[in-house]
Amino acid sequence: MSEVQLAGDAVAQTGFWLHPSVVLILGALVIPLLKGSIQQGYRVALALVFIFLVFQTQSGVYGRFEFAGLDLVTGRADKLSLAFAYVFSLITLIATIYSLHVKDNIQHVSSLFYAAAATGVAFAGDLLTLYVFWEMMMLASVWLIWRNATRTAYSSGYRYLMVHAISGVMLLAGIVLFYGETGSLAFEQMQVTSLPFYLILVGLLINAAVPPFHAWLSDAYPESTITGVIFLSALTTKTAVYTLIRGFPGTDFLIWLGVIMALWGVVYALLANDIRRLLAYSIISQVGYMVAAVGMGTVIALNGATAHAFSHILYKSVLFMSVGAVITMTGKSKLTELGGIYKYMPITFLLYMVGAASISAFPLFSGFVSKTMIAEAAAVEGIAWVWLLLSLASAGTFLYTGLKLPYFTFLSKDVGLRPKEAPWNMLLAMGIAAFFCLFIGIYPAWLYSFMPFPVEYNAYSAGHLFWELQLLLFTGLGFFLMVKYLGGEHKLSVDTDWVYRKLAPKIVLSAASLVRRTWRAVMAALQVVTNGVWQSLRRTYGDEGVMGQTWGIGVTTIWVVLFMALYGLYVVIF
Amino acid sequence: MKLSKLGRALEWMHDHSKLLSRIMLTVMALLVIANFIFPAGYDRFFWESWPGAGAAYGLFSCFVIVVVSKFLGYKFLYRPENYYDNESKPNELTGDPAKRESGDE
Repeated sequence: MSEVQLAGDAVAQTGFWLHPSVVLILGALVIPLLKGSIQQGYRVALALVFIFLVFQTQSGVYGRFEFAGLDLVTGRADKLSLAFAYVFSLITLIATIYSLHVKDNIQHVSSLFYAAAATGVAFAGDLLTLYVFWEMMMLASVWLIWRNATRTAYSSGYRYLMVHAISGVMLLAGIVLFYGETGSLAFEQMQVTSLPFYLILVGLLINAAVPPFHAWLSDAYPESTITGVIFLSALTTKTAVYTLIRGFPGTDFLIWLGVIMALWGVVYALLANDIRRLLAYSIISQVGYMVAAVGMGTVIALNGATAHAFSHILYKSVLFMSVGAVITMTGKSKLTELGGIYKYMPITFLLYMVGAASISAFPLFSGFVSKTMIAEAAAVEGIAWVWLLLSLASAGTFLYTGLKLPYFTFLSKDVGLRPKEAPWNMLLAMGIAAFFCLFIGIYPAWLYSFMPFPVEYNAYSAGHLFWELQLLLFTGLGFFLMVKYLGGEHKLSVDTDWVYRKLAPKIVLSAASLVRRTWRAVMAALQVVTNGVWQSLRRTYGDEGVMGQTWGIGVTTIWVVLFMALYGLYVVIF
Repeated sequence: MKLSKLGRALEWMHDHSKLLSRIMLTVMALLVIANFIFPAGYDRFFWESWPGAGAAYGLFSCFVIVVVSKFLGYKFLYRPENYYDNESKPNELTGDPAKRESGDE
């Protein structure tokens, strides 16, 4: 693998720079003071200001200061960090519009804190700043799960928090050791220096939802609020991808982890019945492409990972938003309970299909110009198995997001649901995101213009078109041949979260019961011993015992008189 | 319930799905035939120069994914829908404290 240097285009700037995250955080704090349409207008305006601040940021190093002898950089803006900041700011506006009707200040504030923290990670030039924003992301995002206000949301949000706390601790430990070894906190490409390298890497991989550390995602996202999941699906895994591109390009074993991840997501998505769980697994599958690309570490691969993260955030938001609209309007979230609603929610249906075509990498849609870039990177490297397995996962992606989910949600049999079309703000948000999906697919030069390296890649070559179109259309044929085996089933699939949801409680409970039993046995044995002592004491001093008996007054008088007589005799004689 | 114009258009397509699927199959056949006439132009992997390789791999992938996933599902992964329900009923998870004290859990 060739070595790739990412640093270079960021030069120190002395100009004044307003950190977009700081503005967003301060702005979010005002939201609870406002009400009604003023609040709605303010939220949209705030998101627009955020976009403006991000997009007018020029490459450079800003916000550099010394703190306790540490050299901190809060604003390292180069092409890579800007690409991620751009899409984070876009999705903030889209998700804000989508959630315009929601009246829940806690959600509004925490979602903006969350977006600000993710952008803060993208701009962080040192590991300490990165860590602070990393933890802030966790603390802000968990509210988007908890505010769904169901029992399952509460417990899965708690698990989400625990897993991310572990990720944070590993990251922090890695950073501390890294500082101890190198004496620097700068966040650049990591050199393999044993422990800190792996600690930081595992911390990042947990957030990127790489198996076996991925189950928090498929556990928590389907339980979150309808609007919160748009932020969740866009931010946490993609900031992790950003940090991987920045810190760990060319780490060979990530290629295979990525491939496993892509296929893992496919298998579980195909088994899923809950439509948001299906999409959650499809995030894992898609992030697998990016992780594999980071593992390859070549120029085209890293461009591909960045481009795919960018288009992924947009098309995945379309998918989650339309599915969220379906859940809002029908109150159902399972494939087995849905069907036949396409004509009542036609706009939602068509916008969903735009997102589905994008994620499946149909030509003219955004996934095509980014996903094929990663496949191309594998082809250039000549790693045939990776290429074939990623193509397989690509067919699988179309199978479950492009065919299975829309077929059983919108088409299939009419189950008697008569929902109204989604409200205008939801449709508008979906429309904006869908527009970007098409725009990027038709005019990829726009996306390519802010990739970390100059892009010399043509997605629309005859080879790519033939391969993708044939792959997808014949996967479709396969779907319709096997359609009766593919409907949702009244089942759930256990994943690695089984370890801490079933196995660990079982171990803890059986350990507790073992301790309890042992304690009881010890107490019982002690009782036998003390009982023996007690009994023998009783025999001597008890009611029946020699020493414990009481005597009648007469007898006592005789004994007293006898002893006094003996004493008198003693006195008289001596 | 009254349908929107778009809804009616989609309903028409739904009602004529036989026709549409025939058109689609024709398009797919033409795509493979076109691939025979115009080569893909890549030969980094040997199959890239085979016309129709994508079509074959697509069908193969679909079949493999469905069979493997369903096999894993039925053999190892599927559980009843209420499998994790005890999480929201703490007493079922840790045992009923009243029963636990009397020692016959």
